[in-house]
Order: sequence, then structure tokens, then C-alpha cells
Amino acid sequence: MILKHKFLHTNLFILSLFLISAGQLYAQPKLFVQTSKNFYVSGEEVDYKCTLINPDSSELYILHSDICGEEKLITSQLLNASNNVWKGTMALPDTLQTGVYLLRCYIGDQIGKPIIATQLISVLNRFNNNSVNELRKKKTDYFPLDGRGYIKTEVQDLLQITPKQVRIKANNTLELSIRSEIDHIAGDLSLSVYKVDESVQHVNTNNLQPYSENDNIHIYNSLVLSGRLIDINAETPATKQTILLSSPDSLANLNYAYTDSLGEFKFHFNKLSGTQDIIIQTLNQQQEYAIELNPAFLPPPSIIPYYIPDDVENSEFCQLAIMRATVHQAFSKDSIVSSSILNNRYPFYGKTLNRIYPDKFIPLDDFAEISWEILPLVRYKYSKDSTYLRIWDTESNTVFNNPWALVDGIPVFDLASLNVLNSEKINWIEIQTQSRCYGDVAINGLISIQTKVGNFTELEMPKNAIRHKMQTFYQAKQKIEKAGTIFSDVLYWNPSINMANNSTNVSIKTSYEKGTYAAVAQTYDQQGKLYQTVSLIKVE
Amino acid sequence: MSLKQSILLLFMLLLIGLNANAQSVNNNTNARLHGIQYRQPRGLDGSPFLSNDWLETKITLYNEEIAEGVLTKFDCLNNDLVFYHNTLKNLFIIDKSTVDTFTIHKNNQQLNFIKYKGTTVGYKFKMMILFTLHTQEKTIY
Repeated sequence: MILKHKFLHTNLFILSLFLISAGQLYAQPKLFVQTSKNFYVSGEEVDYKCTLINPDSSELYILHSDICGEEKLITSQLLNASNNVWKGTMALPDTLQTGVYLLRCYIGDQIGKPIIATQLISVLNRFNNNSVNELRKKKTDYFPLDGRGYIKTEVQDLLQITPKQVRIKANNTLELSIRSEIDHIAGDLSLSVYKVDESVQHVNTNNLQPYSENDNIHIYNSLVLSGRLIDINAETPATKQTILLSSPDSLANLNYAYTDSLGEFKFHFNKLSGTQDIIIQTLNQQQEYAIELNPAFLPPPSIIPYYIPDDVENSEFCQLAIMRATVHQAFSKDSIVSSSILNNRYPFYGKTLNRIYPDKFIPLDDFAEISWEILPLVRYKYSKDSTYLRIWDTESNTVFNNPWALVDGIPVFDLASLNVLNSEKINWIEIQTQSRCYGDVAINGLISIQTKVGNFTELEMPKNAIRHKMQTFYQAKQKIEKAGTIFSDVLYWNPSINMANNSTNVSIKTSYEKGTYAAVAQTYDQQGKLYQTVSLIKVE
Repeated sequence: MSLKQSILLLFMLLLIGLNANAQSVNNNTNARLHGIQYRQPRGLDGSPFLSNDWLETKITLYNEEIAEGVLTKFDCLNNDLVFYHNTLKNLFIIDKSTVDTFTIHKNNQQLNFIKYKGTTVGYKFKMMILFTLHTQEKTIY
């Protein structure tokens, strides 16, 4: 009886362990990345789509994506929270050397661990800048990669592309019919029609380490700027200090955070887009501090053991690609990037009726003169030993002895540095004569100076401050189409095909470029199984 | 270990397994209230406040942050919400431009206020707004 019980207990224990691991496996989220093509020329754009399957929570994720070389981040972007499907475009720099690069897309799971999808892309430099690729050819642990073809997969009956014509003339209209019988598609169906070398088929052997492992890696599911504050004299983390974050703007915005017991601080943002020019500084000006910022993206991989072999580099396919990219660069119109979104309609110090334009008065040589002559309620005295700024509050009949001073929205605590600002440099000056609270920050009087340049370049960087170009959410470019692309290797790219009634018809305009094109339709089911079908079309 | 204990252990382990990924990174920041220092009105006979007691209030800001348990007094005279700032140990009038709605908790009662934009920006007791909408006597901007 005892033996029987023990046997039962052991079985229950094994069963529980099995159920736990099975449950975790089932809940494992997976991320997939697809691109409009595999082979690029420097200066071109990489269109991609990312799909998340089995998300581990109902919250929306933001997507980090980048293109890496060995130990080098080439370009990166953040895509806003979306319904588990993201579509983005990243531009390859024109100076990018010939070689094999890694496209990475990742999200941070609930504990900040990255869930990552990768794809290798081949890039040719159109100015024949290929010294790195040449070096790699000589290394024995690097392998050739031919990206001219398409990824070979098993034939699948559930997803089909039927072209109306298998052979078509250049500058004509191609009709494709797509039919899908897949139950429960995850993240839409994508279709890309791009030029390939039909003799090249390869399997996706992407098993390299996508980033250098590091214990401190933490991918936040929000737009975060984090870092550490070090006390330079004591060489220790500075705790319980207030860190101020602001950006040069005529509408002054201020954000602040506190350092924790490790000297670390974190700023969260919601609606920022584009690249933001920010200045981070300490409120405490008594000590000397160093501010270190944590990278927002994963460290690049230390090795990408692939190269583009000679026969590929010298092939007609690649030479044509370079010529096409050059023509495209020369004749394509610039895109328009939308401007960033402002957080507030009012400056953080509230509305004020006291705004003075020095241009309306006689030119004054320095700020001491300006304050004396034209600033009501303000007294600024400058001397080499001590400089002070005072603001008079008429309502309470009090004087603020330590008011805040802002230049282009950036707090300036070294009051002596203001004196270089004269009538020629200043656009306007606002005076706030109230006592206010901005969260936990007390503002007892404030003077805000907006320079004509407006980007905080008239003054030197304040003490304990750093300037940083922060990458925030990517905003899709508004592309201006010309009469039609004359030469193009990607005839069609749609990451989300509308598949009403499980079928659709697509009309595609072929370019003047002749050759073999692959129409590749891809999607995933809820279990993460890839469904891909390829149909080859000849443009003659 | 009895059979009951084994079954209990099984369920506990299952729960641990299912919740292994449930620890989340706390991304929320405390709501930050902005305002101007409150000054006692001069020459006023009586109190301008809806209640002379400090009442716990839930304030929903425009940036979707929520401040809960804030001690406030509603100034009926100037249509302002006065709050006590714990850190700065002072009274401030919250900036109307930052507020969406607020709820004052008074003796198990909830007094809901919403902001309106008319000729001036102010707060209205929610029931009054509903009554006005129902009777259609006034236009709400």
C-alpha cells in the first residue's frame, strides 16, 4: 500500500513538471520578420513586416528593430504599439560597405527579456566599397551567402498564387490571383513581387547569435530613457538626486526623475516621434556628476559569419542592381517626414502675460542691461564674483531670490552665463511671477528666454549636463510618387493583403527592367507555422 | 506526504508554472500635479470651500495619469480645486488645463466633477451637466 502511494506521488510529481513545461512551451510567444526582398544596394530602403504570435499578455507591445553589422548598429527604429503586426521601413546608409548584415526585430517580454526575430540581408555598396567583405572572404570560419534568390519552402496547397500570365512584357500590367484555405491566419498575409535569380534557391540558415549576451539587457515595453548618475569625486552612484530632462523648444517642457539606490534613473514617454534633441542635467549643482545613458537597443552581434562571394558580386544581376539603385537615387523625390508631436499646449511653468520682445527697444549689449532697462519685476546683477537674479511678485509683495532661468526651454543654473545674451540674440523673454509646483518641483518665479536661433547653442552646456539625440517612435514617411517608377526590382510589396472570402486579385505594374520575378505570399497560422508560396514570372 | 498533500503540491506547482511569466515591469509613473500656490482670499466672510474638511479625491489628468488619495478642497467661489502637496508641504490650485475629471469622496458618497469649456474653463458637478443635457436648456461647449 505504501509502495503504491509512493508510486502515485512520483507520477503526480512528474506529471506536474510535464504540465508546467508544456504550459510554458504553449505560452511561448514567437516573433517573425519578413522583408520585401533579400538583396539590397546601399542607399535603398528595407521594407519589413513583423508578426507576433502567442503574445504572453493582452497588452500591446512596441517593436524595436535595427540593422547590424559586426559589433556595429547601422540603423534602428522604434515602432509604436500595434495589434501584434508592425510594418516599417529602414534606410540603408549610402556609405554602407558591401557585406551581409542582420535585420533584427524584437520586443521585451513581461520581464524585459528580448523575444527576437532575425533575417540576414545582403548589401552591395554602389561605389564598390567592399574592403570588409574582401577580408571576410579570406577567413575560414565565414561562409558564402547568395541572397539573389528566394527562400525555398515546401509546396503548400493551402496557399496559392495563380498569375494570369507567366510571361509578360515590360511596362505592362500583371494580374495575380491569391487563394488561401488556412484557418485562423495570424497577422495578415503579405505579398511581395521582387526580382530574383531563378537559379538561386536557399534555405534560411539563420542560426547565429543575434546579440552579445549581457546580464543587464532589459528591453522595456515602453519608450524609456534610462541611465546612471555617478558622483565624480566619490566615484560612487549618486542616489536620491533629481534628474531634469528638457529639449530646446519655444514651448518649454520639463520632465524629471529620481535616482534610486543604484544611482539609476528612468524616464517614460508616450507620444514622442522622430529623433528628439534632449538635454539631461542634475538639479543639484553643488556636486560634480557624470551622467551615463543606457542604450535603448540590444548590443550588436560580435560576429556575422557570412560574406558575399566573388561570383555573386560580379554577376550581371548585381551590376544591374547597382545601376538601377543609382538611377533611382538620382530621380526619386525626397520623402516628407512628419513633425513630432508636442506634449503640452502650455509651457510647464504655466501661462504668463509678461512677454517682452527686446527687438522693440533700442539694442542692448548684455542681459544685465536688458533686465535693467526693459524687464519689469526683474533684477539681474552680473559680476565676476557673484551674480544674482531676483523676481518681484506684486500679488504677495515678496521677492523670489532663486527663480528659475530657462534658455530655449533648458534650465540654466549658472546665472552668470546668461549675460552673453543681448538684444540681437534674444527673440522674447517671459516672466512668471508666481509660486508654482510642477509635480514635486517647486518653481518660485521663473524667467524664460527664447533665443532667435532657438536650439540652445548661444550658451555653453550647463554643468552636470549631457546632450543626446534620442530615438523615439518611428513615423511613417509620406512618400510622393512620381508618374511611375521606370526601373524597379520590387514590383509590389503589401504587408497586409485584404483576404475577404479567402481570395483576392492583385494588379501589378511591371517596370522596364526585364528578368525573373518571384511573387512570394507569406503568412502564419496561430501555432506559428509558416505558409509560403512562390510563383515565378518572367518579364520580357 | 499524504495523497491530499501531493495533489495540493501539484496545483501549487501548476500555479507557479502558469504565473512564471506574470511578473511585470512596472512602467507606471506617479501622476504629477501641477498648479499655482493657493492664497487665502482677503476680506471674505465665510468659507469658499464646498467642504471645510480635506477630502480624498481621485483626479484623472488629460495625459491619462490618475492621482488617487489626493487631499483636496473644492473652492466653489472661484471654481478651483485646491490640493495639499505632501512633498512641498503647501497648498496649490491645480492647473485646469491638466485635469480631465475628478471624484471627491465624502462620507461614502462620490461627487463626480467634469470639466467644461465655455466662455471660461471650469468644473461642473456631473449631475448638473446631465440635467442640463436632459432638459436641453443650455448649450454645453
